[in-house]
Amino acid sequence: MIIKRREFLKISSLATASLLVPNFLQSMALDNALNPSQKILIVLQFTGGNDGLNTIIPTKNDIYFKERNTIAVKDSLALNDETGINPSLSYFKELFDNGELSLMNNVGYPNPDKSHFRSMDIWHSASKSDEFLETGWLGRFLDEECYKCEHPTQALEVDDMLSLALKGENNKAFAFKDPKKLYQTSQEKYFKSLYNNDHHHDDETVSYLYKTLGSTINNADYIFEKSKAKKINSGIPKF
Amino acid sequence: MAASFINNKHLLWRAGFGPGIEQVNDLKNKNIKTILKDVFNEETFSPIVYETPDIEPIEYTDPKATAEQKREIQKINQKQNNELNLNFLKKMTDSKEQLREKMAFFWHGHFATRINNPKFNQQLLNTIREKSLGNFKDLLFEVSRSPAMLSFLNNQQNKKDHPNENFAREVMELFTMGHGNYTEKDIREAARAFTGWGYDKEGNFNERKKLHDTGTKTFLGKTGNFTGDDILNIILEQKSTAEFITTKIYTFFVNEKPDPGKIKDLSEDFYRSGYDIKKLMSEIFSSSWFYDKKNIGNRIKSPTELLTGMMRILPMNIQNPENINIYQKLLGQMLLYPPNVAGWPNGKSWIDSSTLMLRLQIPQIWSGLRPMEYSAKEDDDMDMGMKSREALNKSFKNPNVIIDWTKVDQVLAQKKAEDYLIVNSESLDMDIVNQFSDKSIKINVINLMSTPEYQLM
Repeated sequence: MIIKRREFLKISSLATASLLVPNFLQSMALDNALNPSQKILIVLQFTGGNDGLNTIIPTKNDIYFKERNTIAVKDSLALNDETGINPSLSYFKELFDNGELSLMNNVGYPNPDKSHFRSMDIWHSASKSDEFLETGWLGRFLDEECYKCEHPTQALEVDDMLSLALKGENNKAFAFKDPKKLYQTSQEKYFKSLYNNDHHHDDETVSYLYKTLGSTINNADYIFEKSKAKKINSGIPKF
Repeated sequence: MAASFINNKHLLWRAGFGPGIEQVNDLKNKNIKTILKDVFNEETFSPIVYETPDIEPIEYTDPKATAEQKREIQKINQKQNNELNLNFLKKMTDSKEQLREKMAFFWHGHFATRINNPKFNQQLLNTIREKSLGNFKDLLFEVSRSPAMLSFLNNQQNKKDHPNENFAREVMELFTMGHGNYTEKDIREAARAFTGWGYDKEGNFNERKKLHDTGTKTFLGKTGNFTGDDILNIILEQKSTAEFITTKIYTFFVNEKPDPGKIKDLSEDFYRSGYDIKKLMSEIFSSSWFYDKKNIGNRIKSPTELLTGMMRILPMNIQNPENINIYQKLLGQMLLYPPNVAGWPNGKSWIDSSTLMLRLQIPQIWSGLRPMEYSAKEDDDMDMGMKSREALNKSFKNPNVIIDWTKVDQVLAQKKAEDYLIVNSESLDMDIVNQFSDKSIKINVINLMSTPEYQLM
């Protein structure tokens, strides 16, 4: 994975966080591509279990302290009257105090079957707990918003394989880890030729395959162009 | 291309996992009726087993089990499950009972479970393989009583005063009638009837009568103090069950777009026959409409169909087959590990830019012309505590595929490889393929298998 959970949770400032971001993302010159007033959503998906009760502590709850008498967090940093945050997450407490962090606590679903996979599916697909969706919440956003997307890169995932969260019915985000490698593959003459000489396909399924091949080639090109090293001008020392 | 050639191809891909290298000449020479007979071939049943021996049985949840014992159990479980996975894949690739295994693959996605217990997995897998072309009634009963299903759908916890509806719900919604053919009350009443149904550690079904709610239930309009068996029988009496199953079979084997008229006819026959699966499949594969142009070459191969198809047509030796599962993982279909009880989605869901590029590259990777550069999504939970180098090494272990190109040369000599490898090559620009193929059959075959058209069956 790009960033190990533990590393991220230990950050002490945005500067250290920025060190965890892959270089190519940092230097992507997307400022020309997007309306400057438009916001960018970054989703960090932490895949794996977490002990929520010891992350956000119910400081006034007797049951918590009684039932967890050996592992309860007694020195949490107060967020408000009733809740504290694990003292290892001091930076996040800072953000909270500055109004830059919101928490949604106690997120779950009725009658959980304790399956890790089921929870992840619900998480990625934002489905009700009794339905199984094959699309993700970001994917469906792409379906709604992207029927005439001007840029092939409305949503990107930094990983080799695409997560369910970004799969829509008709539109899927683009996943890659290394823009240079992706570019090299997509530029291979054979694949490029197959795509370039593609005649209009009557069959819908064949069309879909060529369309996906085409958008892969185009996206790879666009991303590689934008990611070519451009020094950040932030004044933050890089080491 | 003669009608029989393309029909033979179509049948071998739908009723099996594609033509094997030894069937290449059959495509031209054999008559469809003979091929039909071949795919329906059934021999004495041979079960799939895992090879790693079981260790001293300790309940994973046993408080006395040490952390180390638990890790050991997990490791062994993983190994055994992987062996089941690979042996199933091997059956699909090598078996002369192609339809039996293809049908088992279908049922594997239909009666989807995802559990860790290899013994239970083995039992369910062999149940669906043995009964795949038998009677759907028998199949439903046996699957419903399997420890794998009962455990996965929490029926072990479904007891007299604490009913758990999960099993009843999924049996009705996903395995038999489908949404809209029953009410929430029906689910509750069915759950009561299934109370007590459980299993022991050895994997034996156990009705546990003491935990069973013997009261009167009203289910789908009928009243009585029903047991689980009664519920299943009532479900099977509903024509909606035949329709639901037939529709699923049609969309998997014929065309993603259901044809209501044909499905109605098929399902009435299916119901009338008492749920005879073999008869249904025979009716489908013998119908002239099955060979309509619109049904040929329009189905995106699932990862399993893609991999087995390649393994059938290219004679190969895989030195480390236990590492083939990395492809299953990357392409999104690991046998025994469906994403959820609804099984695997189909068609376009298999394809995004990453999976398409990997599919197009597999022939080159397996031929040693290109390295494998994709890593599966890591699970921080599983990697935590591992030394980082270990975690890195774990990310790719090579299956070491060695393809017998000499044999391929022999078999495809003087033939147009595209006719044999691709179901419908009409849309493929052969000028491009030929441009990039030198005079060798090997490169030509690799290039043909590296096309979007090769993804279809």
